[in-house]
Amino acid sequence: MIADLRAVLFAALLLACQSAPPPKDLGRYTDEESLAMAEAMPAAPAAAPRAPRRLLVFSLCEGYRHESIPAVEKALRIMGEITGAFTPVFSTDMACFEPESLSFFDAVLFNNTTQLKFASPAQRQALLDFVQGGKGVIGIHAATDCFYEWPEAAEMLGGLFDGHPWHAGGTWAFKIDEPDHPLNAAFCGRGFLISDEIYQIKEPYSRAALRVLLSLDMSNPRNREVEGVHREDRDFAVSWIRPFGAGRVFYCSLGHNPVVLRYPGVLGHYLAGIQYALGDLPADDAPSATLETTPAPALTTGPEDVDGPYAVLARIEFGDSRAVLSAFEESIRAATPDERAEIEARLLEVLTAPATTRAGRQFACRLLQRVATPRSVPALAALLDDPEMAHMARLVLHGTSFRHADAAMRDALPHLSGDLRLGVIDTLAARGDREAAHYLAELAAGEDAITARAAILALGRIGGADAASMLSNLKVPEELRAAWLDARLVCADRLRSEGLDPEAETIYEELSAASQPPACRAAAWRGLLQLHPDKAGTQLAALFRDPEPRLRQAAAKYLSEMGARANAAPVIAAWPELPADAQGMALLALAERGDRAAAPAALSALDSAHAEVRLAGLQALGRIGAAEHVERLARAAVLEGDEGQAAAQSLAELPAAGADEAMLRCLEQTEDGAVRAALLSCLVERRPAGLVPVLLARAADEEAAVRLAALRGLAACAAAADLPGLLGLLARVASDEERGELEGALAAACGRTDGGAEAVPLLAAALAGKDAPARASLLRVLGRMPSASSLEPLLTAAADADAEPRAAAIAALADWPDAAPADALLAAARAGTSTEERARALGGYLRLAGLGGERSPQEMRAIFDQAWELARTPEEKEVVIARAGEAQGFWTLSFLEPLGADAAVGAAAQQAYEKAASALARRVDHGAEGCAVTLALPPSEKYQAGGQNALTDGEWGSESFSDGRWQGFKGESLEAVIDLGREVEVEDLRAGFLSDMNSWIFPPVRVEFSLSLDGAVYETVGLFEPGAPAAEEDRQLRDFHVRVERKRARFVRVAARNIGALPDWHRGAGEAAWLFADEIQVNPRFEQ
Amino acid sequence: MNRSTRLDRRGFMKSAAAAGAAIALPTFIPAAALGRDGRPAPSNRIVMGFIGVGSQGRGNMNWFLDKEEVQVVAVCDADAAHLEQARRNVEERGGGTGCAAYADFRDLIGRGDLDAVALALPDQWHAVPAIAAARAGLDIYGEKPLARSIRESRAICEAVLRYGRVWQTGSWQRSERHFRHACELVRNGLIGQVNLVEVGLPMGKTCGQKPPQPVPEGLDWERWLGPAPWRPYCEFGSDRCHWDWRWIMDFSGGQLTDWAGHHIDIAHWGLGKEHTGPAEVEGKADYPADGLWDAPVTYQFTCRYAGGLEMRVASDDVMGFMGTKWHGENGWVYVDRERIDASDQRLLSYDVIGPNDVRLYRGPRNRDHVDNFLDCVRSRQLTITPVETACRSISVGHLGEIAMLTGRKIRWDPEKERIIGDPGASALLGRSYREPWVL
Repeated sequence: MIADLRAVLFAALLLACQSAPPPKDLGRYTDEESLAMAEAMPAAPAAAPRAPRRLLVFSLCEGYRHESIPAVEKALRIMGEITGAFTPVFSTDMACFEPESLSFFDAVLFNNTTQLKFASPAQRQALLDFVQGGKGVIGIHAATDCFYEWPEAAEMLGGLFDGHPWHAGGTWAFKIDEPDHPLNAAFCGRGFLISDEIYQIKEPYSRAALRVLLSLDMSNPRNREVEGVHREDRDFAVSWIRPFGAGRVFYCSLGHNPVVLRYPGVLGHYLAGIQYALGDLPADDAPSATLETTPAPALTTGPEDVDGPYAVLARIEFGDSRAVLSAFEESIRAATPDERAEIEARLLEVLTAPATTRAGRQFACRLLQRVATPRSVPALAALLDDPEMAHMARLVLHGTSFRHADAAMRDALPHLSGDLRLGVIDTLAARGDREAAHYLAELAAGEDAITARAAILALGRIGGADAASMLSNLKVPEELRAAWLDARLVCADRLRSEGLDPEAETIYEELSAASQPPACRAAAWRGLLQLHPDKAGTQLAALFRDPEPRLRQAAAKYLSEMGARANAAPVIAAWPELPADAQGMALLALAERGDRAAAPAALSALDSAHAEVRLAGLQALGRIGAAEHVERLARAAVLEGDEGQAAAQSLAELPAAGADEAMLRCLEQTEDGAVRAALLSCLVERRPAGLVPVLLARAADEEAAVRLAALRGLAACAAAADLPGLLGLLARVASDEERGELEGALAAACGRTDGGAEAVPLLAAALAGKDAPARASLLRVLGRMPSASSLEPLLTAAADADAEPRAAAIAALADWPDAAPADALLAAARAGTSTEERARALGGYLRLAGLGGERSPQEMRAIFDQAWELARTPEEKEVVIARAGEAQGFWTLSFLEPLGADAAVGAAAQQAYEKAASALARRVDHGAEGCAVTLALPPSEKYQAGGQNALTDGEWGSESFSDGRWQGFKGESLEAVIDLGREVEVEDLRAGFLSDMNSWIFPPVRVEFSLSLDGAVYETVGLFEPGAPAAEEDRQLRDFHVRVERKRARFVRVAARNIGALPDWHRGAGEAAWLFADEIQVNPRFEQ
Repeated sequence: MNRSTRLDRRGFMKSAAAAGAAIALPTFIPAAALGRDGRPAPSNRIVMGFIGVGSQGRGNMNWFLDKEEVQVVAVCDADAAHLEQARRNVEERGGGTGCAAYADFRDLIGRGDLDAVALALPDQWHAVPAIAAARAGLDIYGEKPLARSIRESRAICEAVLRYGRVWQTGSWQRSERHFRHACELVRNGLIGQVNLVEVGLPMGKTCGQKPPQPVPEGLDWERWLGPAPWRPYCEFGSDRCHWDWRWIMDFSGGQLTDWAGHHIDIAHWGLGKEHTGPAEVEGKADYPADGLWDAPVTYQFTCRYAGGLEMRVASDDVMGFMGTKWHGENGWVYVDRERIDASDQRLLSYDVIGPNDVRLYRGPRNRDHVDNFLDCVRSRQLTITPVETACRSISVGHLGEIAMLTGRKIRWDPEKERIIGDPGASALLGRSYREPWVL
């Protein structure tokens, strides 16, 4: 069973992944090491040998001799025996490398050989010929500690030893460079941790020559925190293969510690590597650097460890990889009951082993929680007096279903004190262990107040008649009285839920007495009400009159909580006599229950002297009122403030039969215009059938407020079918405000059909015979529905004899979505009789001219020149300037620049010029683009804007801080030095920042531009000190710009000071502010 | 939950009000009680204390501080830096009135002058202060999820109901009109009988393993851990331990329990299942193989309710969306924070629900989630997310968590709140408290 279970866990954790390995004959391996190796050994060869293979295992050391040499020999022997992949021949005699000897073998394995010289040229040549002629060579661990004076052999093996920064005592993380490579099959696609000595390999090592299979996982901090590392590329290969002539080479630097020869993964990897070298296992051995796509390595995911998961658990520390726990969790989920029992047993071993770490014991308990049986109880009980482990023991015991747990905790309790005793008391209480009650009662009467309090609360939670009477008999000091009252209430509630009503009632009666604290009385009353719902109404009515406000509040709460179980009639009857606060609360509670019988009370509340009661009455009527209350609510709906609003909401929401009809009737009958207006608004929310005709009629009401309400209602619900009615109103509007609302209603009604296609001809036709203001209205509505059919009447109207419709048409055309009306606007600009009209037409014409961006700069310039000629008054000229400023083209600069001299509009032209230039600058390339940036502090990981040189990448950010173009610095200032690569004449410097205070991004409080020839001595050429903003400003780009009198420099430094902490007025006051920069520009080019 | 969304939304509301938009403030306060400055007179203000004033708690407190009827007199936190910042914030915004700062929530609750407390603590700390506040007769604004376990949730419910306290849960989506509208469409049968509801929640995250670090100055680590299992301090994420605890199962159930109080809550609201729960739950999750955070990354489980209704809950990578989607015989309705959608577009108009249809909770208009709590503190009415509702919403999340942890189908008795026939799963319904904390 144990072997099976280990298989389950190893499958999840370790380095073997065959689902059903063939049986191995392990009987002949008697010593512990052989047996372990044999158990871990692959059961079959990685590939069937094509011939019997002989492997020379050569273990001569001319330098240091590794202890692992015999272990490797033993493992290779067992490997040969079990898999049949080869027969090893062990030797330390150089004579083996005589040509005739070598020919006997299929491959040579250098087992931790050191400092081999191969002094004999003949032997050297023999080995090279042997491999190049098609045979194999294998190096294990120290094999690279040879051949320093023999470059060909070093080349063949693939590299030379260069120290072992990863010493034999450490545990290191390994990544599988190519999880899918056949030589890596034994690792199951997962990186791993192993304790071994790992070499740093130097030239001739190169991925251009080798296919690297396994290397150190340098993402693991453990691997990085070592000394003596020389390689700057951090490429620390552990195993590789290569073709050599017609032969093959496999090297693996694992093999210093004998224990690695017990790892299934390592042994499987060795076997596959040896079989590759022997020529039996085909494998892709093209150099890693030549692969078109670099394979994704499998990194370490956990401390896979040959010692097995339980051993890992036993020595785990907080902060270590948690992979073993995850694997346990998975295997527990999948485990059969038998396997769970086995896991429990092993976890208990870990838990009780003296050497297990605190974290290990804690994690063992977490896992035990999932598999615990009564068998775990003694070991857990033994931890209850251990301050480090008591909670973890209770974590397991807390939820178990077996009573052994209670007994063990009860037994432990007398031997515990202080916090540990509190913990056990709490767990017993949570488990409801009634057998603990007697001892808890003793503790509850004891000296230690903290323990007594916990015991009292526990008795309440445990409940039952015994605990109840123990609590009743307890004499508690004042400081424990609150806990005691609470415990008795909890206990009483528990008794009630168990049907022990008389016992519960006794407690409630006692605790509801006037001498008890209000919170306690309230809770006791709740119990009494629940015990006797038949009397609840009367009792609630009394509670609502209690002098204690908290009881009145509780009455409201319980009245609604009990719902139909409590008869509300007594409360309603008593309502007129209640105190004002109780009146309000009672009404709302009754409304929450939907007690329509309370409607008269709600109605009379409207006449209360207390605003809160009136408000409650209005709100309550919205829930429980009837049609008959409509008129009263409508009168209240015109009040200012809360009451009016509450009345209007109640009218809008009143769920009563006939409410709509009552409102319509009231509308007809009331003489108060304000009431009619309020009713209309509420009716619009309710949308009763047949509302539109009512609204159309009321749009001609004598009262302006009613007309406006009706028109707004029409905008909310009129449809195309209602257009004739709406058009009929055109002649009747009495004010601009009404006209605006009517236009809104017309547009909305049109919009509710298929985009107005049906409605436009109706509107166009209606133009005929209307007076000028009505025509203007219709044209404005047509303008809101731009289409070919609405364009026609607008074009015609742009030459209307009357100014008002003409202006409406021009305004509509000026906003047209395409350039179709451009000529008409130009004509209108020429023909206009007022400067407003001409300016509007001109502005519209120029807007349309730029649409689509299809015109060339020359054409655009010509259009603007023409417009400028046409513009007569300053207003008209300003329109041209404004449009030019928005036109986004370099030609606008040359257009605007001379206009700066204009007496009337020069200032506007200059402003537009600046704005255009600054907008254009954000798109042009500049002299520092692509130059190297050195930052004093790196930006936040989240806002890198693409990294090192983002500030010179030519990419300006938008107002969105997350657009990927902003570098963000949290709480830190920016200091950037740009190396322009050569001396240049600097004329213009710009740096861009973002201000988005809502997102905690503040502009710099100080910006300094400096220049240097040598990168050492800087001269300040620009300094801005805007200081800390005093109030929130809108999101905006904040650029700083310096013009320099041509100064030679190679280095540009920009130092921008972060405000640091968010200022006091900001909602994040005191937190770190962000500084966001997007670009630093040197000599931007303004070319056309 | 998504902090920025909420803050932005609130920021918008604030600026809209400042800009003179027609946002009146109908309240339950009698005009006569208003002080001369327009604020309610001190005697009519709701006196509050805040426990947990760091990340989420800071935002919550600012929300309350915007309310003129609130007087904050006390704050409490296990991190001295947060505590001092909150105290200063209150004193500055409160016009110079004092604000007491406590390291121990029991001292705050025991002051005797409070009407209400607001709690924003990591989940392992939800039950103990909530129950203490209820015992002391205080009303409570608490964060979702209601608690870390089903047993604690029930204990909070019992204490709040026993003492007749007003409880509001931070499930603020309920106070958004479009969520209510979606639920009303479902409740009124406008998509016919609903047999399936899908709930998409955010996918979990992983991070690396982190070594223990010295406890930063000012942080009372033992108190921060409270009833949760002991572990040495390390930074959980960006802000000490103050935000990213929610991906560690000692303190939270990850995105699932973080969001159950939103989208599962909304699903229940639409279905009228707020006072019951599923009969069966089964599902599976992928947990991070390693690293500090251990809450599920990808997860999915199915709940079957009595009567055949099925609720599927999954991380958005599996579900394909975030939010709640009810499938009825005649169509579907979908809602999340950004939008509401339906198979029949006509349903999206608010006037589809008339005064005589089933109407869900409507407080006074223009009152937000916090206003709703304050209104109810005065009126004693149920809030829009009362404690029982919160309990039932998070129970679904906790049952899903248990089903996925055990890998077994859970049978649940929603009346007795018991798992049927699976002692191993039942063991996970509650959590033992680290001493000296007792419930």
